[in-house]
Amino acid sequence: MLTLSSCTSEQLHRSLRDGSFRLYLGQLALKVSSDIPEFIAAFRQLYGDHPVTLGGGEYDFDIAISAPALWRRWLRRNASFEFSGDTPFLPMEVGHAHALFEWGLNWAIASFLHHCLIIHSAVVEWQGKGVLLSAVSGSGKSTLSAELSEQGWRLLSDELALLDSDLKLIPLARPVSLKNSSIDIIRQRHPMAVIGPLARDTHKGTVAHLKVSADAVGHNLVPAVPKLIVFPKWVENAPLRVEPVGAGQAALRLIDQAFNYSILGAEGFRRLVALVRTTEAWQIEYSSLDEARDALETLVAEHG
Amino acid sequence: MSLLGGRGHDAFDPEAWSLLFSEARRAGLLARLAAILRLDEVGLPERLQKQVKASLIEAAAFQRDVLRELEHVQQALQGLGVPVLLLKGAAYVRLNLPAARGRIFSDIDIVVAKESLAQAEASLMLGGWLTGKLDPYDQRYYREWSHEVPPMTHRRRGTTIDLHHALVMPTCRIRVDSGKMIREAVPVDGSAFWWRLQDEDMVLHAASHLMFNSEFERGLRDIWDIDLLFRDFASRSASFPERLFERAREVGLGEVIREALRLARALLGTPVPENLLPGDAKMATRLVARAVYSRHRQTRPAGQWLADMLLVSREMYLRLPNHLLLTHLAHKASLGFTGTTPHKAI
Amino acid sequence: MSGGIPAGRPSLSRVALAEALLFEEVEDGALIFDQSSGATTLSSGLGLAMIKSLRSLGALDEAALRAAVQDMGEAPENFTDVLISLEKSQLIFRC
Repeated sequence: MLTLSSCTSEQLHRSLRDGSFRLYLGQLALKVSSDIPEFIAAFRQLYGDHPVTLGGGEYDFDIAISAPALWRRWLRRNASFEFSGDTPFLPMEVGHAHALFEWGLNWAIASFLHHCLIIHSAVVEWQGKGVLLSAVSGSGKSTLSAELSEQGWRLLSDELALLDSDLKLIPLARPVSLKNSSIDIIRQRHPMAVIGPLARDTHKGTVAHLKVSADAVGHNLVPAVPKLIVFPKWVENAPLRVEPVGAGQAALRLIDQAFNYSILGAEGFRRLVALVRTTEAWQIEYSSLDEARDALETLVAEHG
Repeated sequence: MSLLGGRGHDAFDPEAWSLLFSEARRAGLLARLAAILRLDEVGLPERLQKQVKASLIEAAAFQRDVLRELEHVQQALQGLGVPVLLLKGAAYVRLNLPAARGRIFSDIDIVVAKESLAQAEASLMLGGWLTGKLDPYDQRYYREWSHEVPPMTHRRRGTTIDLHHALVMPTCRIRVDSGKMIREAVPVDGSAFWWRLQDEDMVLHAASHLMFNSEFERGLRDIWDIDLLFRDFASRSASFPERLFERAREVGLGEVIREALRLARALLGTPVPENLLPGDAKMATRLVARAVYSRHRQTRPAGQWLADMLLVSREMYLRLPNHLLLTHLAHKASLGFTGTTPHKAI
Repeated sequence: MSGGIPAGRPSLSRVALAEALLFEEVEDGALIFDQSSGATTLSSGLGLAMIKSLRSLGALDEAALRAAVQDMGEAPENFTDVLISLEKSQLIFRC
């Protein structure tokens, strides 16, 4: 299949303008439209390995990153996230357009894909075993998943675990959102990593995106089987601590991080119970990414 | 009749379906479309089937939440010993009517007698529902001119109740005997607490909601409600259509019901007998014409998605096509009703 | 009725399990999903013993419930507190 980086600039710009562009994010097909050069440049860089088509066709979501109404443009060059022609969020400056795309896409997934139980969690896979890394914002989940991804783990998602009715984790490999100091941490540890433009002074501080490996993108149609649930927490200078979490406790913590548990009702409960019954849960507290990775690899080997 | 010129839903390729779904979702009608047309059974491509499934799951959650919320409302108000009348969506769900299917809504509309309004408001506040902050102008507008207490939102569950003491805006220019409709309400399955409007009045209320409300984007959903209510009641009693028109005259909604049913019949094929409501097929033809234009979002005429959606519906279950909001606007203009300008003119 | 149980009151009322509960035992207790409220609870220890007793025996008066949980090896020291908390979370009710 055609990848984004193999399109010529003319093809890409034309297709993003005339509504014929489709980006394939695993099972999801996105119609993406844009006429904002800053966005298109970042998009090309960060989604270079993703399959695309330029000839129209069916899609799940219709997303446009476009300039808002004319009068606004006089104030500052802004970009809007349009979903089915609606703008659910306030426009942001064009330099943040690629971050807006990622946030908007997270919103769309969490708001509409109710055939899956959707949990705020990174999903990675090691030696064929799926691992949920569920944590509240600010616990280092994205940094950890970026690190694992750079160390050869397969990344399925840095933000959203999609658990389908067969208890499989649906992959959504796409750029990992890094915030503030984690940008430099990943850059220093992995000088070859491709990191997109910095979006400064967003509501989440400075944000940049790590391009995921072509291998992860290449496996985006292969679901993972969950084998381990981990609640990671980064604590400065803390010694490594690895502790088991009971299945019931794990279920409550996942519910707390779920977007659509209440929408799924009894089916959500059954799915979650099945998950925690078949998958051990652990929590780890760490300050060193190397130690955390070692600990995770041991956990997967021994308990996954 | 062949308004479609032989084109049906099989003429929709997956991309056209995607576009239709995207636009229906935006209008909050995807679940309604899915539920009424049984889109889960028509062999759509897998990608679209998943979207149908997801929308039905969401609609089921709405219904569950409404029933749950009604229990909370009952707990809060039961002590007053006054009957509580359920309106619109909450009534459809509580009565398990076809009009409840795939209906996504969040507010619960209830009516209590005017003399019990203050007590009901106080009891709901004790139950955790609070009035949001309104500026003094809005407060005054609501309390003096509207038939509602300002919307009350539950502090934990976030659910909203609209507490009314009448059915339509007292400022509107048509004199409606809504008091009669309320007085002649009937209990819901023998309960002394929940009450509902009579069948005829439910349709009349939906029709007046369509004609007097300024939520333009809700127009199609309201027409669809009217269609589903009408079909359901008419299937249970052959004399329903006649009784409906008679009742409409009685309470002063004769013109409103004719207009609403004309729209519903033209758009959704609502089976209103010709002798009760002489036809007007011109509009339908005109509106179908919209559907034959390009389906590209960037080039399609505004409102074409409605035409598409209705075309599909017509083909698959109802017998319908086309557009309506234009007519809605025209109607408002003819009433001299100065609603706000719709932000998305069609 | 939900205001709690005064100490020393003779236990006249019977206690029953709420309807529409989904009950799934896991290693650290039981996950209970209340289909009428949508709430999920993790119950363990004495509370779990009470729920299991009510599940298997149906509605019981307090004395019988107390005896039943003792038979299951649970010390009923906090019996009243746990009962009230289960009642507050609407997993059990008095009838």
